[in-house]
Amino acid sequence: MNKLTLVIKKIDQRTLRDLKAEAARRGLTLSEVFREAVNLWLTRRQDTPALTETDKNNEFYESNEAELERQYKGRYVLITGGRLVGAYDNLHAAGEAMRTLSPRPRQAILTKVGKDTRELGEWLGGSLER
Amino acid sequence: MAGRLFGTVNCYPHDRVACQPRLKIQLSNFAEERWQDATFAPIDTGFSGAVMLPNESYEFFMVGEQPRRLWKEYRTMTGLLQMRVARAFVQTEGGHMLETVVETPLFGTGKLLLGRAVLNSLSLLLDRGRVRLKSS
Repeated sequence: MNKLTLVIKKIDQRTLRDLKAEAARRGLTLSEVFREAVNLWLTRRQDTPALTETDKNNEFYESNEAELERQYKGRYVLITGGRLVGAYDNLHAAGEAMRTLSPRPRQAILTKVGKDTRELGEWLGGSLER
Repeated sequence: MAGRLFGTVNCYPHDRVACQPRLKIQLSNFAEERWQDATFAPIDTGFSGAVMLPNESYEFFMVGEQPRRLWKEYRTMTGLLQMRVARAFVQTEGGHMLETVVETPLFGTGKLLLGRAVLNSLSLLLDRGRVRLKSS
């Protein structure tokens, strides 16, 4: 394998100092740390396509929330691919719309506009132990 | 409720290893597509939510996920736990399909649990190592 020399510009001094210190503590060279970081980043990128879709759909929802509430209050809206697929009076109709989508998305937002709320629950001890 | 008569729909022995009461359920995503075969879900009355799932199982339900800003948080003994939440249906033997939500921790692996939001709609009897599902 050819090994090249890479120059990194505009790196923050403090970040570099911390990186060098951490590498020294672990007995690694900077190139070993860089290689490990790159591998980790590439692996995470491969594992997170659904997260990207989640982000895109949530971005659409958040930037259009007021408009959705104005137009579709009390109805189910289905968002996928970063766009509104439709608004439905009941869950069954929304489900039918999902079944006809091609290609099938891995992630979609389905919410009853103005009715779904953020809740706080509790999860006590028992099952945490097993 | 005093004076009501119940018939037993089915009996489920506790999980032998964990000695935990459990109930047979069938989960479907909001598009009414079934998630694998009916499964035994451990009953957890300390969990106020509906159904918790491991991360990898939750992926099947992500087609009906709630917006991120509505994802639920839980108070636990070690602090707040942020969940991802998706619409789903749950069905017990001999029962109707009930609209519910499934959840999994945003960080962490999650586990299969049936919480109070579902249990409160059922008639169950803990009967010496068995759970009896009742119909009235």
